[in-house]
Amino acid sequence: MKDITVIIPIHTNENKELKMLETALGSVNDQKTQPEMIYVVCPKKLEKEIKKLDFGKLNNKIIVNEGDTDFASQINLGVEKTSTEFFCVLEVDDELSSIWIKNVKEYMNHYEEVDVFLPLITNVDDKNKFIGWSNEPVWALNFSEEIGHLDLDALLNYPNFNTDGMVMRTEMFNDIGGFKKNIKLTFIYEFLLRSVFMDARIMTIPKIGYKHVNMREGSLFYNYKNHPDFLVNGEDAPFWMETAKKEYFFTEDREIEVKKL
Amino acid sequence: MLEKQADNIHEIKEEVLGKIKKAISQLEAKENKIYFFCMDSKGRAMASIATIYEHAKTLKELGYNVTILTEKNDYTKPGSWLGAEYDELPHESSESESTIITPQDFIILPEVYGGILEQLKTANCEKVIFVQAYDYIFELMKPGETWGQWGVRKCITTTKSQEDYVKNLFPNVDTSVINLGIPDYFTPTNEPKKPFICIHSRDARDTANFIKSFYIKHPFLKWITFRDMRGLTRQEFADSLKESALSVWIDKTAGCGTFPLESMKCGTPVIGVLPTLPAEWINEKNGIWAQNQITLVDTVAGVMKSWLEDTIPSDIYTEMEKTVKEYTSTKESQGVADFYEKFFQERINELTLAMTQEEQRVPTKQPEPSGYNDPIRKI
Repeated sequence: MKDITVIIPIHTNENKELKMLETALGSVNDQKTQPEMIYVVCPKKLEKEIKKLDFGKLNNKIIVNEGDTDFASQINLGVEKTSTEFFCVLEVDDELSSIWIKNVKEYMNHYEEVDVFLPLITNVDDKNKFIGWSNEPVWALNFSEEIGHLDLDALLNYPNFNTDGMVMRTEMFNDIGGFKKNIKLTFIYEFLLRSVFMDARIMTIPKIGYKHVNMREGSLFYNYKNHPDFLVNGEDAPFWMETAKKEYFFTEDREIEVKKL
Repeated sequence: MLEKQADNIHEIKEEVLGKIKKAISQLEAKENKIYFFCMDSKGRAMASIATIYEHAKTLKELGYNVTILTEKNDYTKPGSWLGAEYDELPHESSESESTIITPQDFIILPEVYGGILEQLKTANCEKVIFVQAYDYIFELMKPGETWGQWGVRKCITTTKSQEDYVKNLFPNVDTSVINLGIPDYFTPTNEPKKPFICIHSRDARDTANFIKSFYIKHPFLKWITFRDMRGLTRQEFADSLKESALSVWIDKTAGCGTFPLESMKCGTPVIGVLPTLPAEWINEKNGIWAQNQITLVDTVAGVMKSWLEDTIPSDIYTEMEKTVKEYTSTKESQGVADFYEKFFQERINELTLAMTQEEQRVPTKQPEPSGYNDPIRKI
């Protein structure tokens, strides 16, 4: 059996994330097939409060990051500590659907060559209203070379894929260098480009595996748009797209000359 | 003079008895030809033709003298889509000079050819109508015409509901059901299914209209691939059903519904329009049956979302399995074997009775020729 660790990164110091964490943990507890382990990667300040939460029957570990606690750093640290063959990313404000781990394990048995399993993501607004899905285009006829699988050409033409809920081979993640914290806005895109460039086999499991709240106040992408400390304006988007397309050849998280903005 | 006449009568009687005995022994040895009149698939997969060939193949394996009778010399055998072994069955064309149908022969006519019974009236053979699609019974028949008037005594059909329908139309025709058998290459696969929907309709326009309407009404499902099942070989057909999540069936005038049964055997749930004459295997548990063809797209979209969420009730899969257990190749072969064995035995019994009567008869005049003295005729 291929084991999975669910990693929940908490990258702010705000206590309000704890309420959301309870929901996220609940969604892991509700899995029809349980993951082998769950890690919560958090800043030091939240450690005590998180320890008080009910993890149910889940084998769990709280990992404190005393360095940078941005999203990429939290995931990278969590994966570094992972001892299972695969890991799964769950954002603190999102939920896994109860069938996700069960389906991943079933697909793993049939698609042994696959390194990254993406879920169909249901995107909702903050009122839980359906907005759309992510990761589904790979199943459209002629979208990619092999139906259901993501390849470089397809990704270069259509960047809107999401790593939320993804289950990835731990070793592969470490080999390709993990997420890059120096890349803003398009770090997920760059990561996926780099993965397929480095021969990772990526497929979308055609099952709804994840519920993502779009642009929740305080979320990473909300902050990119609205928070003065993160602000990325519309004109910056092409720059970060181009950056992703330049940087995916490198496993190293290189410094980006943001002066160009 | 009288003595000579008595000798003549005796000789004739012996000759008649000899012919009857010969006819009986031919039947016992299964030497009589069974012609399966078959339409031309022109290389396209057709369930009705597959069934005809399946019956013929079963009988051939049981030692019967079977021939596929085609309408024209220019005929495309079904091997390309059905399997090469079916091409090896003997074929004859009704256009060919060498094709002769004798009174001892049997001819199995698809319901759509009811209109050519008139042409067969002089061929004093046994005629059986094979009804797979009740809707075509009257296709070539004249108003007021019946099968009985052309000497049809038997009918084979594929469902109880069609049997009832035929019995109601032609109460004097002995109608029997031989259930379809879904071949074993229609089996569920262990592989996870893909978000594909197989679609099959009698009218190709229904398929095109369905797909277009589906994509317009449910744009979030535009990435779902539809597979039109036309033009596939049987193996490709089965492979497509195996890997698909769902199948859609639009055929209001279906007789039995081979496609949904094949789909169920592949473990693929069916969403279909309820036919006008539903086959007895259709029930509310083994599929999703809609009355309204217009809203079928919405039903399919709803079921597709359920599939994506793994919320299709497991009962439906259990019921599908239960349903198709009744439609195996083994059961179909047994049905075919039983029907023809009984049919041949009936003919033997009739001839034995005729022989007994002939033996007991005190001839007062020269016996009239029976059907066995009829000249051989072409269709």
